[in-house]
Amino acid sequence: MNSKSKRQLRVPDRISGLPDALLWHILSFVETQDAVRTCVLSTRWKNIWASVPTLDFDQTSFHDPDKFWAFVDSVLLFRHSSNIKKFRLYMKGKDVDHSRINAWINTAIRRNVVELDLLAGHPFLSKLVELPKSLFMCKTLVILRLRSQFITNIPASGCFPSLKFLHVTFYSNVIESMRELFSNCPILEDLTVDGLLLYGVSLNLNISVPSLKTLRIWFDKDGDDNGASSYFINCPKLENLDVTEEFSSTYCWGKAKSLVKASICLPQHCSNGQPSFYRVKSLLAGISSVTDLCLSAHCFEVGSLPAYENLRRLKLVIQDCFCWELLTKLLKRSPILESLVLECEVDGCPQEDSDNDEGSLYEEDSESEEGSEHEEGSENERRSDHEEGSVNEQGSEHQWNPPDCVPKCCLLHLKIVSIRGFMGERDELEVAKYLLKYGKVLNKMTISMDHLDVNEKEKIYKEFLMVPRGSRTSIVEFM
Amino acid sequence: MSEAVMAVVKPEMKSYIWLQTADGSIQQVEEEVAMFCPMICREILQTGMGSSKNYAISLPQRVNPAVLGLILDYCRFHQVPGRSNKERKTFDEKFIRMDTKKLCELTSAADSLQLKPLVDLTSRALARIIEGKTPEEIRETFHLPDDLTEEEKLEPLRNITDDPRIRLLNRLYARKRKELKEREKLKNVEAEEERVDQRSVDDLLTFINGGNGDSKGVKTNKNKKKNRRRKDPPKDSSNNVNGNHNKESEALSSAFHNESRPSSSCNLQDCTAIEFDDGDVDDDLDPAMKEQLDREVEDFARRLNSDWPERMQEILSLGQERRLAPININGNGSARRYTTGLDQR
Repeated sequence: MNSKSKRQLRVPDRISGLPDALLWHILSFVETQDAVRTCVLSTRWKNIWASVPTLDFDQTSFHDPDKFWAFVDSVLLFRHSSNIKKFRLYMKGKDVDHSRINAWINTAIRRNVVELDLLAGHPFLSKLVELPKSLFMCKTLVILRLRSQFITNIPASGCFPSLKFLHVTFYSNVIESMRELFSNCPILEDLTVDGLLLYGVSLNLNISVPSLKTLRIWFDKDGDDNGASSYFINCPKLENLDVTEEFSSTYCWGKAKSLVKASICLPQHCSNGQPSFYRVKSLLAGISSVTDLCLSAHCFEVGSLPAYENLRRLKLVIQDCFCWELLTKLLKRSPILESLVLECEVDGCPQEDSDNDEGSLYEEDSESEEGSEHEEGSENERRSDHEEGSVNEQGSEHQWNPPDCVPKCCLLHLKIVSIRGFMGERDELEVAKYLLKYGKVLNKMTISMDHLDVNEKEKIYKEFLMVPRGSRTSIVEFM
Repeated sequence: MSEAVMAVVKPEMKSYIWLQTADGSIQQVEEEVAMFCPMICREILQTGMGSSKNYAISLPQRVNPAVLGLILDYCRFHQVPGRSNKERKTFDEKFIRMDTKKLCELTSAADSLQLKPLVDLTSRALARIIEGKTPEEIRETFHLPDDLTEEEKLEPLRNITDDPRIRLLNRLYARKRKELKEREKLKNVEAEEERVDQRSVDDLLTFINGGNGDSKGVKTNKNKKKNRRRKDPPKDSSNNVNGNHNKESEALSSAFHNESRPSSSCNLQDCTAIEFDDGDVDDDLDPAMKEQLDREVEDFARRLNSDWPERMQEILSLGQERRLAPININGNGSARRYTTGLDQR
């Protein structure tokens, strides 16, 4: 032991020289198990773990729930009485000890916890834990994440005095009182609602939070869209909206004229026979005041769009089934659009067995009826396109129909166009060339073609060279 | 290498800040890069230093020239406003790749310059190195001296299973769970629920006191206490409050080590005040008895850990409305009057 320590002395250790506060900071990024382990490293490290302000307990690495409970008890008992800044507790097992969880949460609250992250029990198999009243009245709590369902008896007043960030996870067994949570947060600024709703379950949420600035709705659904959810959003200060949903739900809006940024992602591909996304209309209608919009959706019926008076930056994530109709309409409805980004995704759509050769030609101004849900072939136009020039083997069936008159934004405002994942397909080419030709104030068009080989790229360069430029100062950059 | 980068002569338009490291060497840096560091920024604004070689800003001791170069590289990249988040992240990931020795130096230097984003970046990197490793591996990586005695290394393992407070907690939780289960069962049965509840809480109180076996009345309890008193003093003398505290903080477990060495001796001798019986105690305790028990708890608490009474309160309240009288460890009023004699200090 002596010779070993002598050898070690010659190589000074750097980390122990750091001040205590810095060591606590470093340990706050590891799970508490690992932090506690450092108590046997050396004399310097014996008590460092006891003041780390972050506690991160995850039952996943414990095979025996009893051992996990004993561990958490011990840590809470033996650590110094310094404040707990962040307390994370993940217990995914079926067996849940309610009294312990209560005592643990109370301990954190007593230590002036700022951030609480709780997951207690299996979503369907465990009995629900009731959150202690002290949690609702906690003056120091700023961030609360409830990753599983809890019984919440919300006090009549004085609830969540400092809470600014709230994250609630719903599973199919929706607890009524959980939905009341957001209405009881007087200064809430950031709300995330997510979870997994199984077949046929619909969630109806009333999000009326006067102070809310950012709202995220992220839901996965399993099964068919039989129980569509509905959201009533009445947040007069809302600035950011981020929605990712398998199927679009119905959105009702209160005053939402303050919305600045919206990001909408509807990852579900719908094939023939499935309900059309007329509901997307309600969503798109509510976000008409945005300046930045990012939209990622598979095909849906494009009804009439509202005017996007303030939209400056638009990003569209395009799937194989994308309907260029949407782009046309958006361009027409966004008079001051400055920047347009098209991101083309490959293989986002599942292969279809029966291609619909003769989709009905979709007229631009027809409204999609609310009642029609299962119209066969009422999807966006899908005309098989056999023109040469289509480089990609997948043979996209879309056609770009240029607007009858040039959109105002192209003439006056559109400065930047960026196309990523360009595949050189006929319709993509047409769009790019149109924008180049009619973009009178276009500064730069960037086209990144990662998936093409040299020959294909050559072809495309040539095509672009032939295009008469709308703007003399425009540059086309190929990446 | 970093010094050379920084000494590149730039056109006259740019302004420079002069920085001096602890070893005396002086460097000049573009102003906007230096200003990215809060500490340097403050120095410039408050004292006006740094504008020339003679008035170079002295940097904290923990910043040596090599690490200063790294820090300035970081600042130079990040102070450019137009970069995307992705770009910044990519840069950070590349930047952080260095040996642990340098990483520690960088963390220390960034901390002394109060450059929070870099402190977070380096701290996270160090955390990633620490997590998942065994103590031996960590000692190896950071060249830590292995200067704990074997006894000290095994301390945490021992305490987690044997510490009487842990045992107490387990008892209380088990009790509570049982109580809840019984309450569930009896929910459909009318009457008698009230009494059951009452008694359960009293049971808990009794347990704190030390699980008086089959005592039914006040007298018997007193006798029991006397016995305990006689037992305790000799054992108590070996401990004091400070000693307790140290032992607590040494505690912890590697419950995950799966090798808990059961030890027959209890480390905190004075905890013999709690003697656990497995049998249930179904006393009917009158209020006077309860008062006495409250004080017992308080004494016990005073001897251990100032937090203990509050923690006990939490555990005991456990959502119930009925609460113990608040335990005041500063010992005024009733507490003083009743000294159990167990309190040696």
